[in-house]
Amino acid sequence: MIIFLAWTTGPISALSLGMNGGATFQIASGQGFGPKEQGGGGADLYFLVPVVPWLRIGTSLRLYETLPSDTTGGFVYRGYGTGGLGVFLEAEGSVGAWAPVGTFEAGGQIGANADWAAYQYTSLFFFYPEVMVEGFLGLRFAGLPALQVRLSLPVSAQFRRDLDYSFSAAIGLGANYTFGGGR
Amino acid sequence: MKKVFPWLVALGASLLASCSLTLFDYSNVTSKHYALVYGVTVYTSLYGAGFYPNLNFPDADARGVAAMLRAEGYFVVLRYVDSSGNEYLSTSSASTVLTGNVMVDKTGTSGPCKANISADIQAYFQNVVGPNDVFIFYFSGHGMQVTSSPPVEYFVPEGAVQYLNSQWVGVPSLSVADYELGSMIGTLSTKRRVVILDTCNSGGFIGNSLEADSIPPASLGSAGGVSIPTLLAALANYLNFSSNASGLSPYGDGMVLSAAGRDESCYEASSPYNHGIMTYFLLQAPQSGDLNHDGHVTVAEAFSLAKAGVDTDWNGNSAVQTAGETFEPRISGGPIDFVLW
Repeated sequence: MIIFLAWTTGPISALSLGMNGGATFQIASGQGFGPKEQGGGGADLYFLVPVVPWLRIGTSLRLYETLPSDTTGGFVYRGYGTGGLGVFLEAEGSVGAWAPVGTFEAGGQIGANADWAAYQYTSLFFFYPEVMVEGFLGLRFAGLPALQVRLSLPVSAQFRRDLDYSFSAAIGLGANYTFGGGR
Repeated sequence: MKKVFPWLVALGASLLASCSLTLFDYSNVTSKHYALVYGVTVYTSLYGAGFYPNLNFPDADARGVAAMLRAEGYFVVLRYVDSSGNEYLSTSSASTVLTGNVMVDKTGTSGPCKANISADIQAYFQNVVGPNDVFIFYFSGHGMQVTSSPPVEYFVPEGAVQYLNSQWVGVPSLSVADYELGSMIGTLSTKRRVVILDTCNSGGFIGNSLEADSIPPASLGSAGGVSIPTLLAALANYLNFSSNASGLSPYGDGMVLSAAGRDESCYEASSPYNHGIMTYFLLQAPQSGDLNHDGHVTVAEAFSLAKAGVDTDWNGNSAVQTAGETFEPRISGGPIDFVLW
């Protein structure tokens, strides 16, 4: 956090603020039961601060809902709602430009989240950490370079202590705005 | 936690459905359903029903739960003491009486006493219940807490109440503690064990060691909510996680649905309920329990239905609040929920 504050005090004018929404697909297994898939979705709000022109550090606030699995086999992986805080590094570069539209960019993120969740129908809260990698494609419009529209494909692993494993993938769509103009 | 961004959740679900992403096929897994149901209305023949330590409705609770489960295809063994002190044993499937369905015996040897509970599990289920089968244990009657450190909670079967030092007390050695019930049902080969207790202090049977309940052990009807202490407790539980829980571990022993918190009483009432309050709402599960409309009722759904009924109907009653008789049903944590029917 101290490092993050140090970063933000310098290049505050290049701070980016973004929001992303996505649909998730998760696979979990544990407690002697086989794996099942679960759908879900949610959104995150994030801040980005440049470290070097192609590298940024970010932090995010996430709200996601994971639906219960199906009932086949007579068991269900419970649904839960999650709120989390994340930190990540992001690398990005231009991959092309089309003057009438804008600049196309591509990049990736790697990060970690601290997640608190509550099981559906209950008042039971639990914690788990999560690591995430993400690839994304972005578009900066020619007339508004401060705005980037982004299509993202994050993949994450949840380190649940009551599950053998839990992985998720998502497809997200969002936008971010860089204060002080485009990059 | 309420749903966030419902349209994104719906999109995720739609993607899952439209892409036919059913990667794991469990259609060949079949479950049979078994239940052991107990109720003790009369603990002493010195008084009638309703005069302490006797209760009014546990036999109605047990009979109601047995009928509900039989209608849903369960094989049910039912043992109870009615309001006249008669003991009953019924071992019938949904449609077939397997043995004489009624046995009356006032000697106390045939009722739902501790020895019979253990014997019933062995006699009726030990060699029958398979690894994919669902087993429900239900008890309605008294519960109690021995305030040792840590406290130990019991449910009080027939024969476990005695008059000592000018008061009626539950006898721990004749009652069933959380760990004792865990040992009894732990002999069954299935992991799909569900324990439903309509007794005071029954929340002590819940052995969550990873989850932090935002409702404290003696909530007295408080709905709970997100708080910093709850989130910190959840973090601490993660860092110190042990699957050896105090109580029935949801990570192996079974899933508990309790009428009350660990330090809390629960109640029964006459018309319109004529049941333990939690059981009254639980009995509505066949009609109203499929909360997500997927054609099935899970333990969590049945719990949510019962909890909502207690919260809105019972706890919302000003006379109940004035009398200080509000309470809050609880449920085990753990990542797995079981389909009841």
